[in-house]
Amino acid sequence: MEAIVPKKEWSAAMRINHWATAFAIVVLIVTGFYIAKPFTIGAGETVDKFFMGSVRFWHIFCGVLLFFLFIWRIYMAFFSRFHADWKDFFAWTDWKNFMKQIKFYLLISNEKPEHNYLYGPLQALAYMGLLFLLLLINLTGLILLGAGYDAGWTHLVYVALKPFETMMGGLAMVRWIHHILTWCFILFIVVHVYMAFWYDAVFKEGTISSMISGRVFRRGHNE
Amino acid sequence: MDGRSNYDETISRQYRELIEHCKSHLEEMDDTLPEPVEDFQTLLQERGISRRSFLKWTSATTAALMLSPLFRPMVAKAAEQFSRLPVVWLHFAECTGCSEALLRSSYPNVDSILLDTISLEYHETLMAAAGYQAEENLERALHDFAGKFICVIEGALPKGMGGKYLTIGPKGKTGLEIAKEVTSKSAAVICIGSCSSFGGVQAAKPNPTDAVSVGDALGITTVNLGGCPPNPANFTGTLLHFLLFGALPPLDSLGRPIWAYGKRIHDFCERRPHYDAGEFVEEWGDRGAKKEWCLYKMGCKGPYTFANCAKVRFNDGTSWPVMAGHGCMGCTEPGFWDTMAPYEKPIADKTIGGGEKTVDKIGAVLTGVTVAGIAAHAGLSAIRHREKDKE
Amino acid sequence: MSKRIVVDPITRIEGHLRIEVEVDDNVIRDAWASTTLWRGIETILKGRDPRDAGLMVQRFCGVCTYSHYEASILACEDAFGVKPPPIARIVRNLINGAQFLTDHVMHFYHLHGLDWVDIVSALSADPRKAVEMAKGYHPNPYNCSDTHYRSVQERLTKFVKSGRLGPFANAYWGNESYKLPPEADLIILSHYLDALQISKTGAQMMAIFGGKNPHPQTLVVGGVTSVADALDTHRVGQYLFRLKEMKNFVETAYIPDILLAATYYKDEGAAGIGSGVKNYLAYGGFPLDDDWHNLLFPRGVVEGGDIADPLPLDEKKITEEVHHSWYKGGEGLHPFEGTTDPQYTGFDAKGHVKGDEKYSWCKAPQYDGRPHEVGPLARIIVAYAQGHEEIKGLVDDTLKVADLPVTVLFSTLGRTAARALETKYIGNHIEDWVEELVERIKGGDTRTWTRCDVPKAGEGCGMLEVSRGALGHWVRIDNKVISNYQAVVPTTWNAAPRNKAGGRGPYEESLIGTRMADVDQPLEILRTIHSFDPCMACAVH
Ligand code: HEM
Ligand code: HEM
Ligand code: NFV
Ligand code: SF4
Ligand code: SF4
Ligand code: F3S
Ligand SMILES: [Mg+2]
Repeated sequence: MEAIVPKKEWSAAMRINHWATAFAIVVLIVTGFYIAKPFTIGAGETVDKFFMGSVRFWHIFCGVLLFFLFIWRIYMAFFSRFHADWKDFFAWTDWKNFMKQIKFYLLISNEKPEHNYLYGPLQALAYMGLLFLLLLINLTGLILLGAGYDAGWTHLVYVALKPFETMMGGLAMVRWIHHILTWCFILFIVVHVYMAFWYDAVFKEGTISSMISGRVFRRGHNE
Repeated sequence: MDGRSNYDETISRQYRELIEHCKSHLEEMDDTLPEPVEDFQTLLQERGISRRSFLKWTSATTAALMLSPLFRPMVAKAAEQFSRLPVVWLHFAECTGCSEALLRSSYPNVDSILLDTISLEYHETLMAAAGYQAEENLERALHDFAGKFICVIEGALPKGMGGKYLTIGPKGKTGLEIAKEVTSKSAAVICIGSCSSFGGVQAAKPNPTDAVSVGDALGITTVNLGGCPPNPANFTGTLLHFLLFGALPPLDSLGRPIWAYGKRIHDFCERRPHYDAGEFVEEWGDRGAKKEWCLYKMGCKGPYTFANCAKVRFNDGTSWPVMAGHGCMGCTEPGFWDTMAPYEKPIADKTIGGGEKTVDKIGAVLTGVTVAGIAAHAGLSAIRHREKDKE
Repeated sequence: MSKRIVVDPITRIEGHLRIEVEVDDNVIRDAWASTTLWRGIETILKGRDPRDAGLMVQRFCGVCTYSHYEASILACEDAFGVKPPPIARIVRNLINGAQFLTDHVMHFYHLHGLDWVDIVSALSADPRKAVEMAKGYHPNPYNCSDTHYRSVQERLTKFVKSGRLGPFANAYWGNESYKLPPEADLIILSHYLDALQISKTGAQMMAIFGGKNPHPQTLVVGGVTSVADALDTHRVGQYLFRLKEMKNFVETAYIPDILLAATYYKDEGAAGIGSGVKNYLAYGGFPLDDDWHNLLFPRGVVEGGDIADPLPLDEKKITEEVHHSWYKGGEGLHPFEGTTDPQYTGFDAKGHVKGDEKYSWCKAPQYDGRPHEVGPLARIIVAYAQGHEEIKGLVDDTLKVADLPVTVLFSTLGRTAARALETKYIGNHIEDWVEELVERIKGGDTRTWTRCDVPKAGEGCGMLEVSRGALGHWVRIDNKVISNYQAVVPTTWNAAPRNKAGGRGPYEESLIGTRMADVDQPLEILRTIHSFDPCMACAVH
């Protein structure tokens, strides 16, 4: 019998990871922009102020957090006990379904794409791209961080990543690429959040709440 | 407890070995280097340099090279060797700013003594002979001091047109040919300045003469004293290190001596507290500028630049770019003419394709377009799906 | 039998210069000047933010390290339509003043001196007589005592005996055309060493307001950045203190040495050896007001050595020709229209310049279609011709001391003397500027920058006097970036190859008729060419 049934889609770990990542990114964008284009704190004595210092602290704090969340997410993609989803990121290789989805999204056709994987083809491509963005921003972030240190793990990481710095054309270019990536994240979030709502509205599967509760509601059979 | 004393023992053994090595190396130099041109002590006297200021110089240099004070007598001894170290100095695609820098070498006048008493066998800006006679001098130096002289190179090598953008000498040899010949006979190659180290200004986009660094042009390893021009202390320090240890100092991955290029400008800058506080010069000559606040917003590239300018300063410690209120433009970094531009704006304001197109402007427009697209999509799909639901 | 002589590299200059001459009976009958390096910086500037040009063109040259920086900033200020505030103008003058003092002193002693002074002959000088001689040219000469002279001599003896002459090896010592007595050689040689120290003092003057030397970093379109230094009395004091030291050296060493040399070389001066094209051009420099009306050096033109008829300067009459330069192009172009497109044709089969075709990376700037000399001599002659009171007085007094006619100026010696005279002249005025600076600050004026922005499109030119002569930069802006940039530099004027009509450039012309004592020793060529203070990196960029 066909009914609307809750289906567990996301593990708790995955949800925590997602929202912590989301939180870190929002903080990173705000603090990042201050670092890029600070405004002057005019009033008061220099010795009493540490505004840029604090902003940098929180940026770096969230940056390092993001880095570990990223590692964790990659770990889950391969070793999650709930659902190791690394294969799902390749859903976009199903070209037929891919075209179907594009037509559906562009409101050209009404035919819904099939959900053979955890993600539709477009989502898979988007999230894969996103993981790649995360990789890059972590890489550039760690280089920027390590450049200021002479010792400790940050320094070791920096030494290890130095070839990437040289490849990118020096620290200034690393900083610039970091800044460009920030805009990529902003663009992503806008689309990502909209798509979440749209999905919710169109598929009526409870997409938004799923990232909180872990469940989607699919038309299907009671198991 | 035991581990601790073992550690101490290792350290002191290492020191002893290093000092022994130093001493025996200096003695060896005594035997192998050509006769002194002048006696160093009288030279000091004639220049009116007291023993005290010479000692001060040696301790400053010892510290700058990040050596223990134990090395001071050896630094002094190495300074004496200076007057005997044959140096061949070549000029290629350059502006002579690096030679000038060395002539104005700072910190007690000793540096300048070092300059004109290095046994300078060939230097086009200073030598008296010209033309054929100059060429002869070069040939003689290559012959007499083969394998012993230091080759200092100022200027990049244009590779375009088979190197013909630069010819030197009565036979019209290209810079490339001369560089290959001379470096093949030298004990070491020191690239002074950004031009010879990394290509410099002529290699900035679109690099019309295909100018490259000496290392890239010849495929050899060089010491790269980045800077446009570099601080002369970094040159004398490198030479001293060579004399002390018989080897070039430890270098970073770009060939720059770590003792001079190991840390960022930003981490030694006297204005750093203002950066951390969030106090920035917002406009040339404004209140912040008068109070010497941080120049980050005026385009200071100190955060991306590895150099000791803030510590050593220029012209006998008179000043340095940040002190002059302008900010650093990253002149010790490879490719800085392109990567650090625009020089009066922070990196975030770097443009794509010139003009006004900063990343932030492009990003904002793209975001706007996306939001508009989303609104359209939302509207359309509302209509579409309502129709569908009605069906 | 005429003989071709190639001198390459010309040393003791900035950069890469080749001179070729045809000698007949030891007399130079024809000459070619070829610059042998092109870097293409004008091309590199295209598409960049005009505010960035200053720092980049500064790398044309590390010797006149400040010159192009200011020229570029002035060109942009013209294009942006902005004027720097008075304090910025003064600070710029203070830096440029330091540039002149340092540059000229270094030039005379380290780049030019050995053309006049035989250092080996100094060995046989009697130090006591040298003291007497020095006192004949100044009552209290610089660092002058027989013990000092003797110690210099001893050092030198040791140096020569060691057989390792380093930079002095294989030169032209003993050549007949050295005219100074050993005592004079010794005096100037001892100042050669002193000047190594004193030039550092001059460099510090520049660094006080400029951040460093070479390549100061303090100018911006609309003003200067070193506001904290300018407002700091301590800094201003440091500058003044060093200025006094520099001035002392100029008064008690540089000027007397020039007079000393002139005494023994005056016949050459009188014979007009090294005179050249005799057309002189000056853009005017060191603004004493904010509109550049009142200048320390006047602007103007003197044609064919006719000091009775000075002409006004018309910027539109400036063109650059490339008929004999390794670039594509036809007729001479005004710098706003100028192009820099390489077209290299190399040397001939014998390895000589192709004198009838293209033979240099240097372009050939023309004023009113004719080659012109620029530099200290041009500045002095233009001012003299215009009846500039102070400069005329300075020149006339000096000539009187040395007992020489004014025509002696048109020569190698005259060029060298003019440089020394203007050094003294500038030195005498810098204190006034410092005073004006202090007065203005006391009056509450602390503005160092005028707000401005890059125009969507525009063009501007910056013209001023720098150590080697008249310097002009022309910039065109489109879509807020540089669309064309052309620099016409003092050494471009002087080192120019032939023009369209075949007329020789100033270097080339100045060599004609010179007698060489020994054709295998290019000493006379060096002497005359050095008197222009060549800077090839500037000339070609
Ligand atoms: C409106 C609520 C949101 C929903 C329903 C939602 C849902 C999802 C889903 C289903 C995924 C794929 C799961 C995965 O691959 O991990 C995902 C990935 C992601 N989301 Fe969200 N998201 C929301 C809001 C946000 C926000 C606000 C941000 C960032 C500020 C964000 C950042 C990310 C990132 C970075 C990924 C990809 C990384 C990854 O795969 O773990 N999300 N989101
Ligand atoms: C989505 C993630 C991130 C965003 C949106 C972001 C954003 C930014 C932005 C806009 C800047 C200023 C760049 C400029 O000057 O143009 C910046 C700087 C920086 N970021 Fe991030 N960032 C992120 C992740 C990270 C990570 C993972 C790290 C390190 C682990 C990091 C470390 C830094 C550091 C060290 C700086 C330079 C701060 C300084 O020089 O004082 N960032 N970031
Ligand atoms: N010619 C020239 Fe310069 C000067 N003075 C430039 O403008 O020397 Ni390098
Ligand atoms: S590195 Fe800079 S100062 Fe040195 S020669 Fe090159 S352009 Fe000139
Ligand atoms: S002035 Fe430059 S180097 Fe100094 S703190 Fe500010 S950004 Fe850093
Ligand atoms: S511009 Fe260069 S001189 Fe030092 S302060 Fe910056 S590295
Ligand atoms: Mg030009």
